[in-house]
Amino acid sequence: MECKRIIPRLDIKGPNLVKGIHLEGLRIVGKPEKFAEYYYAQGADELMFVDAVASLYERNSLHDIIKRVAKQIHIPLVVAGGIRTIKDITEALRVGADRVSINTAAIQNPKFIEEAVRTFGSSTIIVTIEAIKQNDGKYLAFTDNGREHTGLEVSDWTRQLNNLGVGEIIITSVDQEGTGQGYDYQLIKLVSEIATMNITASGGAGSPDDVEKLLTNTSVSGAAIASILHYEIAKELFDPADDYREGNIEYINKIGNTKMFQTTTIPALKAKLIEKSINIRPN
Amino acid sequence: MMKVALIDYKMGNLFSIAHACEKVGLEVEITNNPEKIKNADALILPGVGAYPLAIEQLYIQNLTEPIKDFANTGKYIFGICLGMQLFMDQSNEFGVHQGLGLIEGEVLRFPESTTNTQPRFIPQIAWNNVSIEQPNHPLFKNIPNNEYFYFVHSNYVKTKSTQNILCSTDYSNFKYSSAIVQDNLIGIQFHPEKSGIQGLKIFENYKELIYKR
Repeated sequence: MECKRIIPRLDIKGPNLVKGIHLEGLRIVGKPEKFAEYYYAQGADELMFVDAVASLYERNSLHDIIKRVAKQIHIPLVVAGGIRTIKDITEALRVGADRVSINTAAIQNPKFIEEAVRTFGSSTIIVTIEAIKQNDGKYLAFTDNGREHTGLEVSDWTRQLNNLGVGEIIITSVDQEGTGQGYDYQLIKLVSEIATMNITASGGAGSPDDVEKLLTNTSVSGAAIASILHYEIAKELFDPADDYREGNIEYINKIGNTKMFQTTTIPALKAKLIEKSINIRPN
Repeated sequence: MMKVALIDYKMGNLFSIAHACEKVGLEVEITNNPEKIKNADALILPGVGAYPLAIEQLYIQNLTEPIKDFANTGKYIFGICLGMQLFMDQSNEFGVHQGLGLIEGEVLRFPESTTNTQPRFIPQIAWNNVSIEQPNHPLFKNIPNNEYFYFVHSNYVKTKSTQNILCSTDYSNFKYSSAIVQDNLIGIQFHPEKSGIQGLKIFENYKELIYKR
């Protein structure tokens, strides 16, 4: 039987792995190549690379990272962030991505998604939904890392995606993202009741229990996880000899002092999930 | 040194496969040149994407006949994912399309789930168990039964003869052939180039097969 996927999510800014809260306030956590190789060796089922600032400027550094990583790592690589054209997709696949995820350009022009599916097949094309809960309880889809309001309701957008041939949805809760307060189960339930394709949930995992709860109580097939994996190993993977000219590395030294996250490793997390009879690929 | 041609017909993840081959010391040349294909010692036929586009590309690039001729020489052809599906007589993806007709059978879309409690999402995007139906086949040497491999696909192959079934897999309670074989033709539905260490073993075994022939 098919397994649920454990997916480390690596947000990339320039040459660095970063982590924010609500997709904002990005702080340097380390070098993405090191984390990627570490997670591969530890038994990750897939890696998700998100260009955290792609909607704003330059993306060559992400492609360089993917190119280097793809040579060493033999598991699927998903690339998200700033993908707007068929050429962008071709380019991402050419440097080693297996699948791409699209948000902003999908909402601006759903026809682009249809064309992408026709060209690359539905298994290559993912749509990311960045959702923010409104005061009236409705979930709205945002673009540009949760900054731009679209007025589009998540439920309506999901219904539309069913008809566009998209192979998977990554549902990111901007509210929960980076907080460690658990996935937004209400949001995930809303989307999974409508969606007819695979769903990966992203945003909020603060402990192994949160991941267990996600995979036990919802029908999602993938769990994207960042903080609790990154913070477990960031200090160990940190090398002051690496080039950090482009940012402030103070945060790395403070990692571990937080009460928000119960950090873990992929083998420990997988062992726990298997013990709970969840279908997981053992390491 | 054996010459292995990795066929480039603009449909797929050539570099991932090339990297994986490189890891196990199997040198490949990425090519769509019929002459180079003819002179190779073995072929790898990759593929990601839609069936009609793939078969159209093979025709446009005049590759169908060289591949069919190669199959008749007894030298190995290794089809991966869509590459394997092209071995078959026909596919029903986006209308009926003729394949290479090297193995009798067809390519079908996964059936929609019949129950609400157990949805079968199409495409399958998952690591899944591979149950080896021909335990002594050298492609699966040193690979435990029911090992996990990575799958991404909406369609599966159904061979006319059960003798072609090399492996089977269960996707949401639907059992299908995840690897097929007919003498020198070997096809697998999953992606060994994306299946970690166990996947690399498949390439190692393919290398051994080629060198032993």
